[in-house]
Amino acid sequence: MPQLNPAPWLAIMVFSWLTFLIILPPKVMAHLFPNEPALQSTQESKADTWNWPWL
Amino acid sequence: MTVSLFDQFMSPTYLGIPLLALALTLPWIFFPSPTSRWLNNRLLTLQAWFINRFTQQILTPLSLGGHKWALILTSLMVFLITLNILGLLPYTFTPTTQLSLNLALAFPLWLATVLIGLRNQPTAALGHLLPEGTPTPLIPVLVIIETISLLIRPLALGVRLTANLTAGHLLMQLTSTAAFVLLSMMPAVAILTTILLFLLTLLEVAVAMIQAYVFVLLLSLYLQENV
Repeated sequence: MPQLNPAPWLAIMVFSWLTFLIILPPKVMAHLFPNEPALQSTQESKADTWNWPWL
Repeated sequence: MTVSLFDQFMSPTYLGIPLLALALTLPWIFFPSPTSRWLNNRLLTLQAWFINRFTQQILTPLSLGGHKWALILTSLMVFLITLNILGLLPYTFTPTTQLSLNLALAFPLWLATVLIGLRNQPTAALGHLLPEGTPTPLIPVLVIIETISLLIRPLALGVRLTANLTAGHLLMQLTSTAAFVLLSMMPAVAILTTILLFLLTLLEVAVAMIQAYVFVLLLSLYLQENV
C-alpha cells in the first residue's frame, strides 16, 4: 500500500499541520456575525396598536 | 495486478512538485476572506451559515471549558470536508487518503484531550477507565480493557478516515475501469456498471461529508469527557 511508504510521512504531517494552523483559522475567524441576539427583557413592553395610517 | 490499483494513492509528484502541497494549499481559494460588508455574496453567506451552525452544534454538549476548542474544531471540519469533497472530482488527489495526514491530525488532538483531562480533573479522567456498576471481580480486567480502548482511539480515528476514503476511491476506480473495458464487448453490462458507478459516486459524496463530521464529533466527545 503506497500510503504506508514512510518516506513522505514527516513532510505530509508537517505540511498538513502548517496549512491547518496558518491558513484555516484566519478564514474561519474572518466570518463575523454582527447581529447580537436581543436580550430578553424582564418587562413586557406594552403592545402598541397599529392600524393602517390612511384609515 | 492489485498493486497497481493502489497507485492512485501514491504521493504524486509532477515536474518535481509534490502534488500533495498543491492539494493542501489550493482548496482554500474556495473560501474567500469575507469583507466588512453587511451583506456578503451567496458563497460567503453559505459558508458563514455553515460555520455558525456547525460551531453551535458541536459546542452545545460541551461545557464552558471546552468552548476554547471552537476555532480548532470548526477549522478541522472545514479542512476535512473540503479535502474530502474536492477529492471526488476526477483527476484530483485526496490528501485524506494518506494515513500520515490523518494520524497527524488525530494523534495530537486526542493526546491534547487526554492531557487536559489528566491535568484539570485527574480523578474524573482516570475514573472513565472503570464503567459504573461493574462487579468487583471484573474490575482489573475492565480497567485494562478500557485503557486499551482509550489508547486505540487516535489509531481508530486516523484509520477510519483513511480506510473509508481509500475504499471509496478504489471502488470508483474499479467500477469505472470495468465499465470502460466492457463498453466495447458488452455495452448493456457497461450501462449497468455505469449506473452502479453513479450510485457509488453519490454514496461517496455522502461518505466524504459524514466521515469528516464523525472525525470532529468523536474528538468533541473525547473532549467532553475530559473537560
